[in-house]
Amino acid sequence: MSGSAKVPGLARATVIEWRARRIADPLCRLAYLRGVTGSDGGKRFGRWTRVACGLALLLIPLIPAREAVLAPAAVNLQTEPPPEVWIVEAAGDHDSYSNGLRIENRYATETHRRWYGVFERGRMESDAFERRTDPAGIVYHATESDLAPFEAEENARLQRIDEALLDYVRRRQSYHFVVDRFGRVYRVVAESDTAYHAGHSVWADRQWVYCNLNAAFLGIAYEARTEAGQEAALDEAQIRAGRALTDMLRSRYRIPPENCVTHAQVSVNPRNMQIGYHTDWAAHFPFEAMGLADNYRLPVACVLLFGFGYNAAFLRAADGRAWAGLTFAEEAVAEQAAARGLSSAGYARLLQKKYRTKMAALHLTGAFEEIGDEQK
Amino acid sequence: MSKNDKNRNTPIGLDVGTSRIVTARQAEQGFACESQLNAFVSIPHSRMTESALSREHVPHVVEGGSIVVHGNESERFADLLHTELRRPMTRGLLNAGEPDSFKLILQIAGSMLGEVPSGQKVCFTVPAAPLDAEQDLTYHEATLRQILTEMGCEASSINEGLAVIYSELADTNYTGIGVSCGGGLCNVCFAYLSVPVLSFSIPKAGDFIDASAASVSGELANRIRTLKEESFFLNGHFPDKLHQVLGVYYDEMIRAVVAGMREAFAAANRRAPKVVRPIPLVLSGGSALPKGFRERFEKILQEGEFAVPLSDIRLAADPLTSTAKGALVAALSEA
Repeated sequence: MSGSAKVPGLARATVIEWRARRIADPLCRLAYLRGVTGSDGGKRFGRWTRVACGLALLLIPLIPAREAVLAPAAVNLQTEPPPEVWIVEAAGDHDSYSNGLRIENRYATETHRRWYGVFERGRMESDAFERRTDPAGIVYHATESDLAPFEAEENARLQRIDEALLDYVRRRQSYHFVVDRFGRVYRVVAESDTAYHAGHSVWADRQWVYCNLNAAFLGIAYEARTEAGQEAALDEAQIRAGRALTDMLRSRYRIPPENCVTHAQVSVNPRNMQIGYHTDWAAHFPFEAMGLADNYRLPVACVLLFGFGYNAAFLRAADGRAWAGLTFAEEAVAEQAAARGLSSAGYARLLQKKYRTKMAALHLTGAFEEIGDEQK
Repeated sequence: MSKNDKNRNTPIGLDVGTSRIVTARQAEQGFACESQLNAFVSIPHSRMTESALSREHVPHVVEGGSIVVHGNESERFADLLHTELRRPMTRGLLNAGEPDSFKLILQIAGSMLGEVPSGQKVCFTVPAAPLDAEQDLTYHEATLRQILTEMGCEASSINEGLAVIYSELADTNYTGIGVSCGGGLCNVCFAYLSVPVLSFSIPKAGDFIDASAASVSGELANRIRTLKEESFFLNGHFPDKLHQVLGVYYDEMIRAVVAGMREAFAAANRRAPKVVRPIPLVLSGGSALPKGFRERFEKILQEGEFAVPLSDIRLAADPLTSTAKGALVAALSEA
């Protein structure tokens, strides 16, 4: 049946695929694909197939609208704004907030005052950036540390592990906050300062592009492990505390919900231009429990804007499935490539070059610090 | 489904498998499928038996001094008579050891298709050639085409693995790997944007498991198959010896398919299209029915490298009917 079928080359396949994705009816899409690839054995379509597919194809614009590619507008992630949260008492060793949140300050340390550069999304051709000092988002982490069984008989061991962990992350200035197994929230690095939590990383909201998020985003780490193929279980206390902390930070810094993401969504490796150098919360992060929409559906910024790729190891960490936001970003890149008459790989290389020039611009002006090997 | 519905001249998907024949038609909501065992038993002729079978609407034909019961009912009779089922097909192809295989398939398919209007479009499935073996599939395909043509149908054919892709992978623009684990063969096909790039079969499938388990346990292969499809769990914990034996042979079948896939994809890597993003693999067929099959397949596949990045390994929505549905989808896309 496939005697005359020909596998299309990469550039042609990109265009064929892009057009096929716009045909909603699967039968019509198959008829189109079989027709253009010749896998129908050279048969002519039936009358109704010709009429239906002709209409479907006429409705496809030849070049996608720029806005449709650049904006995550296709994803509806509206959430309720967080309640107003204010500080009730700053007692030195702890702070109390109006939503019941209590932050322990025993392990708090300082690094240096935050400042960072952001690029405007509508002017990606320019390497000029704006200087900012307020946190723009939250990155959720898992400590990936040793865990004891969460049982009363293990209480002493649980506490020991907890203290060792806090001591370790304080020394390394690893996060702004840690939420331990008992739901206790510890401040590790002052909110006004940079914490070394995100390493090489990229995120973007509707207007701004953030590169290397140590300064731009606040880091919240849950004492948890996120192993591939297993759902990391946060206990009720951790979820309650994480929600209260998220609400407080969102309320205090006016952080938009689309800027509350997991480490796996933002972590990149510039050496091989792959995403997911760190894969904590590559799947199963309880966004809804944090008062957020499913942010795995957001376009993955480093793929969409800078042409990063991913490999099978990353997918395994993501429980075998690419997030909707990853697929969306990939398709958008393919569409942009097709509109420019380029292969997806060729267009991705152009985007990667853009990433490198932007990094060079930030580096030259000291807008971000060198990231050591252990922090990548 | 009423007789009138059956007779409307809309395309039909026909999966002619070693173990089962399945038809798929378009229905008001989705697809309507019907399945019959591709098997028969001969019982000694007597008038009383013949009238009893007619009274009970058991499909049968009288052949000389025997009555041949075919389709699903043949299993019950084989069980009653404690005899093995006979098969018009073996290892995915017409059974050269059964001289009446042509006639029997005509009867079983005929009973399922009903009286078809002239020019009825039927797309039937054919297996792929075995890996690393020369096998002429022309006779098999031509014979099935002749059977359908004699019934008045306009017949076309589709590779089994490709049919699985057409049935299950609309969401990836018909790009991915379809594996049909049937009775006689496991068929594998890799398609890119609906174009079959690589297809082959592995001659270890459900019948191999049944026969091997029967020889070890002393049970009839028919009963092994029934047990396998109705109550077998592939989860590593087996309640008795028979389940344990089945587990061993299931593993052997999966390992054979995975080894074949590794070999074929590695060999084809240079001429295969460059896959930009990971693709799905979908499992279907009666031998994929036991719970835990998908997980076991995934585990064995992950034991070594595979030339193509996979996004996920999924089980067909209805493994028994997905090949017939894919044949119908192929026919409809040409209608």
